[in-house]
Amino acid sequence: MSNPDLSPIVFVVDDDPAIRAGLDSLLRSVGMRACAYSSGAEFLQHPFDDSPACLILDVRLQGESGLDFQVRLSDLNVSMPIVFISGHGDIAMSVKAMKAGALDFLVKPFREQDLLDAVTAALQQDSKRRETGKAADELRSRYQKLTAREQEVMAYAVTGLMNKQIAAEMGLSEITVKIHRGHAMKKMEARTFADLVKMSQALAEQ
Amino acid sequence: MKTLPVALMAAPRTPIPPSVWLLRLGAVVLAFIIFLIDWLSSLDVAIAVLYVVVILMSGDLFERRGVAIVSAGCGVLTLLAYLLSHGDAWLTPAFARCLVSLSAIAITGFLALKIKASKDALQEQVHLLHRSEAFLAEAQRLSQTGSIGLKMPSAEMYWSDEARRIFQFDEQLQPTLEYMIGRTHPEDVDDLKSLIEQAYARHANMEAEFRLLMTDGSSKYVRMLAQQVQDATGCCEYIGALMDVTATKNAEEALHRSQSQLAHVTRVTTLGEMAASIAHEVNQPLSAVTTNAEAGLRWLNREVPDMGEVRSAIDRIKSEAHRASEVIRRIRALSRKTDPKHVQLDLRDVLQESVALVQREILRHRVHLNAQRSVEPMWVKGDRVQLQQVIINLLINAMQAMSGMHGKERILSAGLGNTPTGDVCLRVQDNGPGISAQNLPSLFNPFFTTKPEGMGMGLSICRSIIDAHGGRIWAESELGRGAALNFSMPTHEQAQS
Repeated sequence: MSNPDLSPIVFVVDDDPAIRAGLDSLLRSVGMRACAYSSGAEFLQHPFDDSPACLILDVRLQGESGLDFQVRLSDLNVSMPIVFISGHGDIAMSVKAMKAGALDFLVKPFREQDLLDAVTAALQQDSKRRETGKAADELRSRYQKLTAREQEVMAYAVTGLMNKQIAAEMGLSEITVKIHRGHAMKKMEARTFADLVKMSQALAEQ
Repeated sequence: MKTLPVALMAAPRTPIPPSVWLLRLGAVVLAFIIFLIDWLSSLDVAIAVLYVVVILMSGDLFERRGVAIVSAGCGVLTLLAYLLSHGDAWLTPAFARCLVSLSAIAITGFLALKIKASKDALQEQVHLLHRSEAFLAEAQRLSQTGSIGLKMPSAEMYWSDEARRIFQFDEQLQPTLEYMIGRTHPEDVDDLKSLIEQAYARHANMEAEFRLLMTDGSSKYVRMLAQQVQDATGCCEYIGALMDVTATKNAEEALHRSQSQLAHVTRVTTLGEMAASIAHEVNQPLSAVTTNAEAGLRWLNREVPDMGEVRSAIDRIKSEAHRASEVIRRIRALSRKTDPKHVQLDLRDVLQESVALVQREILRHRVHLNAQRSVEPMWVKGDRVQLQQVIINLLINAMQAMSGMHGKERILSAGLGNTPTGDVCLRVQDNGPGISAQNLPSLFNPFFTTKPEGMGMGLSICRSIIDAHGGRIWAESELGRGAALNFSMPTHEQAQS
């Protein structure tokens, strides 16, 4: 499914065929891409692309429960927003789901508009997450283009050391430090020194 | 013999009535008159022979000893009269007359004693006969069993007092078969008639249970057993007993009613325990209905409605609505209060439906169910709802038994098979903690439970249901390795569908 179509996609995992088909139809009727599976395992068997996505997950599934599957997804580093649906949600169950990062918890039979709203919110969250993720990725790839020396010089520079001090620390000539520093600025696409400091902070946060 | 009722109550010493004393006095006076005539008259006849009258009279007035004494007394009086009137003149005609009189007295005395003896014996027997008659009548009254006799082909009948009481016929009525048939409940008349005809035709004994319809509109259940006896003339007579079994029948019916009520109550209790599952079971299709309806509407409201999508949404709505109603139907069948109906069933279907009803419980308890459907149909005769109740009970018990078990897969298996004797057998097995040997025998007792919130009626009801189906139920367990509950019931193979 790695087609160029990067429009949002909604995954549905529910073991009840009628509900699965209904949700699939409902989502498609409002123009969303939808993909429905009967179990978590089946969901994982299919690769997913880079488009913004969210998951509508039934709590009570045959075999592995929805809550268990949520934990497994986070172990697998799949950070897709999850909207839970449940036949009868008790408080303990919904608290557990929300603590584990679920976006919403709807009790069947729910109002369809509520579900669509939750899905829209989930997709927005995911695309935002993806955008920030993308920026961070780019920054990291730029950083990785630096040589070891350049990275070292950059690390000293953002702490506020003068070129002379860095040269003394690293046992290099001031000229060499200056060249490394210029390369680092260029490769990191930092227009000002302040930009470089911010980038360094963003990298450290990752 | 109007002394009989007295004899019946006989104490060994009964007061002697005044009339007897009067007669005794008369006898003594008569003896005295005879003595006087014998002594004083000069007639040349054996007056003393008249003592015979006194002796015969004494037969009715005295006991045997009294008769002997009277006879001896008469002899003494005869001799005395002779001695007084003739002195010691022997070998005279008078002495010969005296001897004749004495021998007549002796013979009469002897005969009177014999008569007295046989009369006493007869009286004793009559007494015993009346005693046994009284016992019989009392026994009949207490056991509500009357005697009847039926002569064929004349159709004359004999009814004992108790039989009359059962039929509510008065003593004057001459018993006939017609009257008995007339008292029989209209619905049972034909059966009774044909039974009597058949028994008569085949020279067989009669055994029948039928209802009587009384004049006040109430009905009685009676059981009749009669044996055929041929008499010398070739006529046959049925002699037998007629039992009023109304009380037994009513008690039986009441027992059945309360058993089926109890079964119903425990069924409803079970349903209550499964309430959450049932709610889910109904909620699921409802939720599918609303989702599909919403989707369908959205497809319709598009600028270019997509009829294909609308159609498939409506199709799903239809089948989901059907699914919900099916769930409701099954639950209603379980909660309905109906008398058990025994029909031919494939136990495989009953098992499958029961499993479907507890499907959600199986999920909730995170149990792995192993239910192999056997290839052969398992025909039994029974009540579908009650058998479902038993199976659901066994399944839920097994799941509850495993609920405290962690770190080990919970495996529940349910399977059908045949016992060596050819009965159908169902086995529900778990791998829970098992049942201790001390609990095993009391498992099916009412109010026996190991669960804090348990009522202890489930398995007891299961047993009474299986008993009513002519089967048996038993448990096997190895502590720590799970338990198996089994029941078996007779195969019912006829009119396969």
